[in-house]
Order: sequence, then C-alpha cells, then structure tokens
Amino acid sequence: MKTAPRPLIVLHPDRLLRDRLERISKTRFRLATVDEWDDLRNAVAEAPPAAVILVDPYHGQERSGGPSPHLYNVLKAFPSATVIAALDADPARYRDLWLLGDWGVAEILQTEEDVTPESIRRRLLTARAQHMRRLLTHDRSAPLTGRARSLIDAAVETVMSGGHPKDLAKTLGFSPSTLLRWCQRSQLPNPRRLLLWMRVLFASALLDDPGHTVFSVGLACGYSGDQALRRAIRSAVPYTPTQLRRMGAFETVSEAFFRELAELRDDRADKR
Amino acid sequence: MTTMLNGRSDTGVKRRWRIPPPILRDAKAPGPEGLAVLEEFRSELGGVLWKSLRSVLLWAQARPSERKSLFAPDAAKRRALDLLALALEEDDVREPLEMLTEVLAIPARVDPELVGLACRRLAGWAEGADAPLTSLEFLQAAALACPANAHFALAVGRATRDLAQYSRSESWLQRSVGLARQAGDWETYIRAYLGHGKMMLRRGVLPAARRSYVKALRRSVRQGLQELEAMTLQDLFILEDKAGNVTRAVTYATRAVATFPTRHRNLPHLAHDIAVFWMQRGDVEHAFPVLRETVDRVQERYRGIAIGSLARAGGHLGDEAAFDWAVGELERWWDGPGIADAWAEVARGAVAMARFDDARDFAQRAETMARHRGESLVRFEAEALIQSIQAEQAALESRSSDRPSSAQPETDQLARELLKSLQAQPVNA
Repeated sequence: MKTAPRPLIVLHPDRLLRDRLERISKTRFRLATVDEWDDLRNAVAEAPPAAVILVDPYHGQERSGGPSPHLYNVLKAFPSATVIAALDADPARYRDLWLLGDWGVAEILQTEEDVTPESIRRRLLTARAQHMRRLLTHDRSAPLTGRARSLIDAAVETVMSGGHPKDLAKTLGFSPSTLLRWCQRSQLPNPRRLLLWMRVLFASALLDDPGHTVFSVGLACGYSGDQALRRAIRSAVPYTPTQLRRMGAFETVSEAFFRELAELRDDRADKR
Repeated sequence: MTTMLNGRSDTGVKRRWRIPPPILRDAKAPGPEGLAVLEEFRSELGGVLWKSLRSVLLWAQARPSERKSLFAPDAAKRRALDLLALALEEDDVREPLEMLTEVLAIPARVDPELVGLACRRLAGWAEGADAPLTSLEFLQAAALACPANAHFALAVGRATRDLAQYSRSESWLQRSVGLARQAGDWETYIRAYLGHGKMMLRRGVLPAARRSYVKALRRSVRQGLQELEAMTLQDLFILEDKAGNVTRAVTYATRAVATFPTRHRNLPHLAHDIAVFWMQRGDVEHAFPVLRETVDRVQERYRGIAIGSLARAGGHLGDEAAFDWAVGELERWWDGPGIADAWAEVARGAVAMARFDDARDFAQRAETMARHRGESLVRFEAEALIQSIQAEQAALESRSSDRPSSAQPETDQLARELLKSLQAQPVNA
C-alpha cells in the first residue's frame, strides 16, 4: 500500500501564507491554488475526497460582514471535506470564530500567530481525522472503554497517514506484541484487522460523498485503485462499493464494525 | 502522548508500565480546538482565552526540541496588547493569562510547572464563572503541560466524568493511576481508583466499580491513609447497597462511621447515604431527621442529591411542606452528576403522596436527564418507575411496601450517633 500526498486546495490571497504552505507541503500535501469561490467548488468536486481545503473565510467581501456564505455553501455541499479557515484571529472576531466552528470548519489557522512551519504543519494534521472521529461516535450501540477509544483514535490517525500496524504500535509507544495484547484486553480486533476496518470506514465515509468515483476513493485510502478497494471492502462486509453507496455506505459499514465489536465482547470478563 | 514508566515490583523485578495516550477531545464536539471556550464566553475575553488555550496546547504537544521555533517572534507582544485592551480587573483571570504569554515569549525555556499552574488557576476561575467546558479545556491543558503530574490527570478524569464523557474520563483516570503509581503518590492513586469506581457505578458496571474500590481500599489500608480508607468504605457501602448485598453494605457502613475522623467534611455525605439506605428499607422515621440535617451540611455540588432524598422521605411521611420545599430547591439544578437520580427520588416521594401526575413528570425528567448523561442505572430505575406509575395499582403496592417498618435497636443507636455528629458540624454558609 502506498500513500499519495493529499491535495491541499488553497483559496487565500496571502502570498506569504501560500509560500509557507508550499514549504511545509513536501511529501504530505500537493498544493493547488484557486482564485474564486466557484473555482474552489469545482476543485473540491473534482479533487480526491482526502483533499484538505484551506480558505480565507472573508474572501471577496468585507470582513465586517462575517464569514462568506460561499464558504457555508461549500461546507454543506461537501460535508466530508476537511476545511481549514485561515484568518487573523483577532479576539474581537470571537463571533466569527465561533460561527466557523458551528458551520463545520475542522480547524482554524491563526495567520497572525501560526506562522512557523511547525505550527502550520500541526494545525493541518489535527484537522485530518476529525470527520472520521465524529462519524464513529454516532453509533452508541457498543459503548467503548476509554482504552479501546484511545486505541481506535490512534488507529484513525494511523490510517490517515497511510500507516501499518507497526506504525500504530509506534504511535502508542508499544511493541507490536504489547499492542496485540492491549487490543485483546480492550476487546478489539487484532491491530491488522482494526486498521482494515478503519480504512474501510474511511472509504465508506468518502463513498457517501456525492461526486467522487470509486477509483478516487480507493486512491485516497491508500489503495492502488478501485479493485484493491473492492477487495478490502469485501473482507469486511459482503457488499460492493456501488451497493454500499445505495445502502448508505458509512452507516452500513459502521454497523458491521460495531457488530464485530459486540461479538468480541466478553461480558463475563468485564474488562476495563 | 504515551508515557513509559519504569517501576519496581515488590519482588525487585523491574517492570515497565505503559500508559496509552489519553483522549483529548469529546468526539461529539468536533471543530477547531477549544471551540467550547468561545461558546461559553461570547466576548473578546473569550477570544483571548481561546487563543491562550490553543497556544498552550500547541506548545505542550510539541516535542521540547521543536518548541523554540513554534511561535512568531512578535506573538507575545501581540498577546500582551490583546490583554491590555481587555483591561481585566480580576486577578484570577488576568494573572494567569499574563503568565501564559511566556509560552509565546520564551517557548523553549518557560517552566512547564508554572504553565500548568496558570492553566489550573484559569480552570478554577472558569468553573466559578459557570463555564464547565472552559474549565475542562484548561484542566486538560495543565495536564498536557505537565505530562507526569498524576494530580493534574486526575482532575481531568473527574471533570470529564462529571460532564458524562466517560471514555475520555476513563483514559485520564487510568493515566492518573499509572503516573501516581510511578511517583508513589498514593493519595492520588487511591483517589483515581475511587473516581473510576464512582464512574463505573454511575454507568451501572458494578463489578468494575467494585474492583476499583477494592484496589483503593487495599492501598489506603497499606499506606495507613485513614481518611481515604473511610471514603473508600463509604463508596463500597453504596456499591453493595446498589448490588443488593445488604449484609456487606451494613458492614462497610459501620466500618466507615468508625473510621472517619470526627467533624470530617465527608461525614454528612456518609450520614446521607446511610439514611437513604434506611429509607429504601422502609425506615423513613429514622432517615428523615438525618436527611434534614445533612441538606445544609453536604458540599454544594452534592446538595441536589441530598434534596432529592429529603423529598422522597418527606413524601413517605406525608410531609407536603418538606416535599414542596425540596422540589423548589431542586429546580435550581438544571443538570449535573446525581441530579437525574435526585429527580427519580422526588418522583418516588410524589408516588408515596399519590400525586401521580407530578410523579410522572418528575420520573420523565429523571429518565431524560439520565439518558442524556449516559447514566444507565438511573435511567432503568426511572423507566421502571414510569411503568409503575402508569399502573396505578402497582404504584400503590409499591407505596405500601415502603411503609415504615419496625426499626432495629442498633439502627436507633446509629441514628442517634449520626444526628449528634451532624449537629456538631457547622452549617454551610
């Protein structure tokens, strides 16, 4: 499995910011700039679903009027898109900052403070896995212990960066055998299967987004194409991507995932 | 943020403790980091608090070697100007915010302990300002700034538990246990287990709660920590009562009364719990005077629970004035730990007075609140209560089964002792 750099689509007039983004992108992101909201909308529709979008929320209008309604429309049209708003976060703009969060912006880049490569890189990375985490909390049929939740959170991060079980172990600071033991104690599938589930869940979240092909979803999830994605999905649920789309991909796959967790659950053990 | 700890077991064999990274965010609250602060403080102060929080989080989660190049050179000056523009008068918010500008000014050299303490101070201030989510954000920032501080981790565990974010709470409490064990901070270790047990009890997972309490009891006895031992015995008493193990419950209660130091601030809580235990077994005559004395003596955050119990006892004795007073008082608590249970108690009191419409409303309120907070035990109790109210006959039967029973002589003795101890304690201001 290979990890392609994720597209970073930028609609921001600040040249300095764009230069900084260019410098930090390297192998993680592939930068593409657009000039208008319509261009952004088209770019998001055509981009692979793993794209990260960075915008000036006031683009094309006075700042006193609050964030642009165009941004609101983009967020509504592409609910799984990872959108970061980059603005001068003056405390006087507290209303706008809150509103952006309420609209569904994943992160805010404070252009007056987040100017170093390290801080920008961290803001971009924290935004990545949010959508997936939010979706995973919707199913409450299988309450997870704190330890299991920690492992799943780390697995989401690992999948987002195209990692393998050994990377998951490294993220948690465990040896692979300790990770395996922790998964068992937390009544989770083994690390390899857990990552497979996370990848298939990520793919299904993207499949629910209209306008994206199965091929592009496969690439976004680190597979070589649609065939590899189909095989991965088949090993988790007995459906094709097209069937999943019809049934509500994320809902179907997450139900199957929580069903597997329920099967693994040993109530007598009552482990924490 | 994973911590590897090296410990030495009793046999001298070196062991490594692994602590998984804690859960940093409530998954149901996505969006930019620290958004809750802006939700609770819709003002420029909120903007500054939000920015300060994010600076600390960014700094705390970066490796020490990366911290030097984390912020713009003029970031501290800008933040100082923001603070100046606010012209804050309250020291409890101005001083810690000023301290946190050091994170921007000298990120490589600032003392993490001082950052942690500043965050804790802001958390305390936010709690006082009725902003629990902001308080939690700063508690967590403190724990991240000082990642080896078990006490800070425990505070996050408790705060998340009280906000019904149970998975997150569990991850922080486990972290606190691991850190405390490493540092030999047995008081925090025991408190973390007590916190975990309380959370599990609230969720209705009694075996897990018992395991945590027993661990806390063993350690408190081994370390000779009498106060914590008494608190653990009290929690075990409540647990065994809920589990229906009456004999064990009475044993723990008696041990707890004997172990608590005189005039201890937790004594009113124990008295409350014992009175509820009596009430549940039909001995309302003894329970009511004890409950009346506890309401103004328990800590403020437990007052709602005590009021609920008093309402139930008042209802069973047919004391409408006491019942209505308690309902009026409880209306002031819109949410919080134990409040769902308190409303269930009020509903039981209303059933006893045959005020079935009121009882249905109160039980419904308890059920909704418990569902919202994930308190499954209370939720099931409230659901059962609603059903019993719907079948009026069943409710009446339940009332008759709750009628005062003949009290045991030892109960008389214990009730007298409890009343005497309570009356010796000052009433809350």
